[in-house]
Amino acid sequence: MHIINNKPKPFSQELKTVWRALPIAMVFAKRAIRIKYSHTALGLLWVIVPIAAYVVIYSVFFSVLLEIDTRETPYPLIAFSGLLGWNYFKDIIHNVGPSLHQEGEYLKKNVLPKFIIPLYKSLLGLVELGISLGLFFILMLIYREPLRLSILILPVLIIINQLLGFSIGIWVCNLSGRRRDVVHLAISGLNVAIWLTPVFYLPGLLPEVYEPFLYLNPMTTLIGAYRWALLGLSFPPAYAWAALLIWGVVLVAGIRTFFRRQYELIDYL
Amino acid sequence: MIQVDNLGKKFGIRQQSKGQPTTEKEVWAIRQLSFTLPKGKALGLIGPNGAGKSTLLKILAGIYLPTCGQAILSGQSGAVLDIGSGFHPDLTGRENIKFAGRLAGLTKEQLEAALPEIIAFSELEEHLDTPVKYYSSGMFLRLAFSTLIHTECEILLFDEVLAVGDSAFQEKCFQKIQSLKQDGRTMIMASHEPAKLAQFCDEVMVMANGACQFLGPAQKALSFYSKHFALSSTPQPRDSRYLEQLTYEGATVIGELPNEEIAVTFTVKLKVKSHPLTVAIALTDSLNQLLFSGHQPLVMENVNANESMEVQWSFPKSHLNEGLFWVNFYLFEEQNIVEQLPKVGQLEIPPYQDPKRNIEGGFHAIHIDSQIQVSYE
Repeated sequence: MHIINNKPKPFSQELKTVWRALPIAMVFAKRAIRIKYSHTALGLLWVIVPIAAYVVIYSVFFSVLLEIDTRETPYPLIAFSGLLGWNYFKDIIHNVGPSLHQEGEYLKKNVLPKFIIPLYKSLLGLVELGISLGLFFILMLIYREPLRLSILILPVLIIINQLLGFSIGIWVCNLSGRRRDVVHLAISGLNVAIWLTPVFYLPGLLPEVYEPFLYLNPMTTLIGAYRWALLGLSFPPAYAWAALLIWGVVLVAGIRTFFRRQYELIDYL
Repeated sequence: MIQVDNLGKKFGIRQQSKGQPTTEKEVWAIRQLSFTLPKGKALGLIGPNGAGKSTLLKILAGIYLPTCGQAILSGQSGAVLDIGSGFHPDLTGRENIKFAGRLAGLTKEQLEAALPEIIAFSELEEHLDTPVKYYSSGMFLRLAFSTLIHTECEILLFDEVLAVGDSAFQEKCFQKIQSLKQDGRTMIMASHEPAKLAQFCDEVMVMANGACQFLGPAQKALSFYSKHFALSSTPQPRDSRYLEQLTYEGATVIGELPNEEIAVTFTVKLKVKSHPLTVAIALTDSLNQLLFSGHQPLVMENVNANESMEVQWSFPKSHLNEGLFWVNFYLFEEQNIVEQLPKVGQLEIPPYQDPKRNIEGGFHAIHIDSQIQVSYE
C-alpha cells in the first residue's frame, strides 16, 4: 500500500527509502564514471594530468621562487597532501551543488528517490582521490618518506572529507531551486577559500594569533589530519575537532531540508 | 488497485518577457480528480494537449507531489514516460537494461534471471551491445517496455509511448498486456490515438483543462471524446479547383421499421463542369476507421457551375450499431481522389431496444444479420 499526498514523510522513512535505493546510487556512480572516461584514449590517466600540473606549478612558485619554509618535509609533498583533501572537497561541491539542475529532465521522467542524485554525484570524486593517493605514495617513495602506522586512519579521514563536502554541497543544492546564483557563488567562493585554507602552505606560515581562526575552517583541520597521517606532521588541536562537529549539524539539517523541499525543487526545474 | 481522491496539482509558471519584470502565474494542471481503478484493469487517458494527462501520470509515479488530495496505490509503480528516458545514450542496450531494471527495483539476482526473457521479448539480440544512441525510437520502446513488464511493478504507467512501435510489436504488446492484466497488474496509459486506447483499455477518462470530463467504458468515452473534442467546425474546401462550397445538411431517418433508412444530405456547389467527377461519401466510426462508402458519377452536362445541388446518400439504418459516426466527403476524377473533406458531419445512432444489439454496440460498429446455431445433444 502506497499513499501519495502532500504531507511530508517522516525523516526516518525518507532515510529508509534512500537506504533501500543505495545500490542504485552505486550503479549510477559506476555508470557516470564509465561514461566520463569512455571516449578518451588515456582513460583514467586524465585524472593525473591536472594534479601533476598543480603540484609542479606550485612547487616552482612556493618552494623555488618564494623559498617557503616547510621544515624537513619536501614542499611538493606538502602541496600534494593539501590538494588531496581539498580537491575531493571541491569535487563534491562542484558535483552536488548543480546536480538537480543537471539531472532535471531525467528526474521529471524517471521514478527514483531524488536524494539518489546528489548522493551519487558526491561519490564521483572518489576515483580521482584514489588515483591521487596512489600518485602520492609514489612521490613519497621518490622522496624516501617513510610510511607511518597512522596511515590506517585514512579511511576515516576520507569519510569525514566526504561528509564535509556533502554538508555544503547539499545546501547549495537546496538553495539553488528557483535561482541558480548560489551555485556560482559556491564555485567562486571555493576559489577564495583555497587560500584561506592551508593547502599550499602550513598553518605555521601565519602569525600564531591567527591560528584559531584558521581552525574554524573545517578543511584546515582535515588537511592537518591528512598531513599527520601521511607525513607525520602535528595533529590538529582539540578545539579544531570540536569546531568540526558543528558541520555535523549543518549536514543533518541539509539532508532534512532536502527531503522537505525536494518536490518543490522539482517544480522549479 | 488505484484510488484517486480529489487530486489537484498547482504549478507556478514564470512568465518572462523582455523589459518587463518576471511575473508568476498559478496554473492548476490537475483539479479535483477522483476515480478508482480496480486491480487488473487498464485505464486510458485522452484529451487535448495540456489536459493534465502527463501530470497525473507523474504524480502517480511519485515524481511530482500533489498540491491537494491523495492517491492510494496498492503496490509499487513503474513508468515509461518518454522514449529513451532512463537510458543513457553512451551505454549499450544490455547495460541500459541492467540499469533500468535495478532502478525499477530488481535485485542483481532477479535481474540476471529475467535478462534472457527481457532480451527475447525486445527482439534486440543483435543490437544489444550497441550504444543506444544508434537506436531508433521503436527500438527504445522495445527496450523500455520489455524491461518494465519484467519487473515486479504492480502498477504500470505509460505516457504516449506505445504508439511508436511497429504493428507487429504493438500486437505483441497487446497480447502481453492482456496477460499482465490477468496477472493482476493495473495499468494507466495516456494517448492521443483513440484506436490504441480502444484496443488496450477497459475504461477511458476524457480529460480537459486538468479535470475529468467523462469516465466510462472505452467505447462510450471515446464517442464522447470525438463528439466534444475531435470535432472542428465543418471543414470548408480551401484553394479547391473543383469545389466552391459544401454544406452538411444533416442526417435524417426515413421510412418505417423494420426498413428504416438513414439519409445524409449535402448541398454542393461546384466550380467547374468540364471534368468527369464522381461524388463519394464514406462513413467512419468514432475511431475514424473507414466502414463503407457510396459512389456516384456526376452527369456533367447537368451540372451548373456555382449553383447549388443537393446530394443525398442513403443506406439501411439497421446496419449501424449504436454509437457515433463520421461522414466524410470525397470527389474523384477517374480513379484519383481530387478533393477530400474528412469528418464533415456527424451521425449519432441511439441505443437499440434489442438486448443482443446492445451487446454488439459496445463491440463493433457494423451490424450484419447473421445466425449462430447451437445444437444441444
